Amino acid sequence: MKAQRISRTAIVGVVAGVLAAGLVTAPSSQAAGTIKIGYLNATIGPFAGGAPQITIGLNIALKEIKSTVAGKKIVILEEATDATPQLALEKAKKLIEKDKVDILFGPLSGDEGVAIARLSKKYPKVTFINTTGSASEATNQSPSKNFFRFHGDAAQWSGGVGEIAYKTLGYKKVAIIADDYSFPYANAGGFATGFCKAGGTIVAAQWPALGTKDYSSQIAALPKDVDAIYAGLGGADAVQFLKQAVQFGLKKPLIGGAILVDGTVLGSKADIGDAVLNTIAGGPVPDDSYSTPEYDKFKAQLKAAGTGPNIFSVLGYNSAKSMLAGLVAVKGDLSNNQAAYRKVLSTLKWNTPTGPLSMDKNRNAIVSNFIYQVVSDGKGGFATKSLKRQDKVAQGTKVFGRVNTCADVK
Amino acid sequence: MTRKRIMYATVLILAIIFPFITPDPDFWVSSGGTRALWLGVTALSMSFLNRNLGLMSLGQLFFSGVAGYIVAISSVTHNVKFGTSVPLAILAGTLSGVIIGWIALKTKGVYFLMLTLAVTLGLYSFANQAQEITRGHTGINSIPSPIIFGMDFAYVKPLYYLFLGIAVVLFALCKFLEKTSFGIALKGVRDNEDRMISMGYRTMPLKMIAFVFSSFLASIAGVMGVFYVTNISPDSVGLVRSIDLLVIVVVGGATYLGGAFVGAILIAVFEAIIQDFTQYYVGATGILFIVVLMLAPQGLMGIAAQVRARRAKKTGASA
Repeated sequence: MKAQRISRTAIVGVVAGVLAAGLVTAPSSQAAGTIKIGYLNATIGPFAGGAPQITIGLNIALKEIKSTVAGKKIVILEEATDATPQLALEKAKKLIEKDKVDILFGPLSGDEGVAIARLSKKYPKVTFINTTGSASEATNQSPSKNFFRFHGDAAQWSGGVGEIAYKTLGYKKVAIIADDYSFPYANAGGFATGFCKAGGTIVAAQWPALGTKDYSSQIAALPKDVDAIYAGLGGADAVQFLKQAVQFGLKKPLIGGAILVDGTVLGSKADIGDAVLNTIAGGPVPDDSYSTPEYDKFKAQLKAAGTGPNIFSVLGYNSAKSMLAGLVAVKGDLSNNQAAYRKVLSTLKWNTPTGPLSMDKNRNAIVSNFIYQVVSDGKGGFATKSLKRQDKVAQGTKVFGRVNTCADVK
Repeated sequence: MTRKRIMYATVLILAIIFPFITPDPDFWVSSGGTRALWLGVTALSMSFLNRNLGLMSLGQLFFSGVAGYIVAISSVTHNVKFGTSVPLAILAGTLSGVIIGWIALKTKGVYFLMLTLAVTLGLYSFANQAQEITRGHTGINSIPSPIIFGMDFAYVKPLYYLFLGIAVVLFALCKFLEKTSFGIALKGVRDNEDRMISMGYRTMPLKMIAFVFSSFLASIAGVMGVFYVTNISPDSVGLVRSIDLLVIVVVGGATYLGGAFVGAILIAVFEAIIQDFTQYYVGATGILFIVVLMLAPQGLMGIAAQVRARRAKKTGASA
């Protein structure tokens, strides 16, 4: 029995040792003269490819002020998430309760964003700045006073697309095919709102599960008497759909969701040419031909960092720059529960690389949206041609589900 | 047995004073203590089954998920009081154990593991797509905290003590059940089911009761999870969390009831610390898992038996 006693002690020892190690590494109370920013980024899982682009945007914004505000050093504490709400909540709690951050910057994905926006009510002393999460309900449903989003939601990313489809391109009847989750719901909802208001009708809708590998039955089921098809698919799903659309000779023009015809899809080697040519789409990132002094400067900064404009780098930069501009405006003063800082953020206005930004009463940004068309680059590849910059696109009050008819967006 | 009692008492006293002796109590009580107790109870439901029936179930998160979703949906969407929704949720989770058990208990070993995993993944897929009911991948947020007799469990310490109370009661209940004739018969089924049958036992009801009891434990853990995380989404019941649970049980010692809590404490604390050193903490947890299993194949709780066996071997060799 002696051996048993010793080894029991060993177990307690191991556990106590681990505990003690944890307590020792707990950081000391906040050093004067620093501003701690906790940074949630979904570097694990489905967005691991895009996540580093947000960091690039953040770093460009930090470099512009040399990571210092009124003599106070800005310290970034990064935590990795996997785009699930549960892990985002755990990491946020860790950054706030253990690391005692002043500001929480993140998260990346929409569903994480909703969870964090709700969590922010529990921590009124911390200011939350969303990075790229674009679910509508984070700001338009029971908005939190200390949660800010310096870009549009997924419905805003369709701002102006519906109007152009109806008025300029003359599409009267449209069928929807889109992935079955919240982002395409909002994205399609934004399109349908403008399109139906202009006078168009949604005649049918298909909602295949995310990650579908065979769209033949959906394509076959699309009605023949439509003028165009709205395709709210992205990534590998978009490539697969477009490939099959070519195979089955789908002759209808396409209207893309925000991620149907982005660079990764257009750059794929698949035979999608006939399907994507002339497709129109909208989103927060300008097309290749766009040029303003702010945007050209930003493009050069991105190039120096080894990348280019995309949803993550653009929104990451705009969000970070807004967060830091607020700090600069109050000279790093976060006293009085950050009251002065939040006041500045709620009324922030500046010319971002992607157009003028202002804030609405729910602390969601009013921004510009870019509508473009896919054209041939004359060398067998694709290019995008700018159709319109729709300014002052504000968030609506709806949280969209599946949009099957115009009645769903009324 | 007194030595064992002294050990239990020491652990309990440590657990009770923990919130007052830890630095950074805001963080460690919640993300260390409360989280470990929640994970521990979930793991306990798994260890109970493994220890007494020799069956490793990956379906525990199904029961947790059923109970958790019922509490979340009824309180957030339909404003049902916890006094009604919590007992209902635990009942529903436990009863779902009857159906799953009826199917799964006809299998053994890897088939049992796969079947229970399939059930969990089925719930995951359903929760992910049933937008109208579960709000899909977004999940259900802003789940309010319970208020019992005026005590608001949104605060860190009350929730910790509530969870500690639940954990102690459930642990004691498991220990008690094991000592009853039912518990002893169960061990007989585990060790040799055919012999028990030939002795005149009807083994299926025995196995069924054990399985349903473990789904009862898992359902309680599911409600605890909803109160701790304040959110439930498909990933709360997905494959990754099921594997996490398996790691906790195996690291702690799959054949010991206490192993569930030892494993949960180790993993909760390890994950909280490792984040400060590397972004690759999932991989780091994997390495910890491998190291523990190499040095202590029976898990941390099995170290005692391991040392004893080694000494016996040594004395045997020298004799």
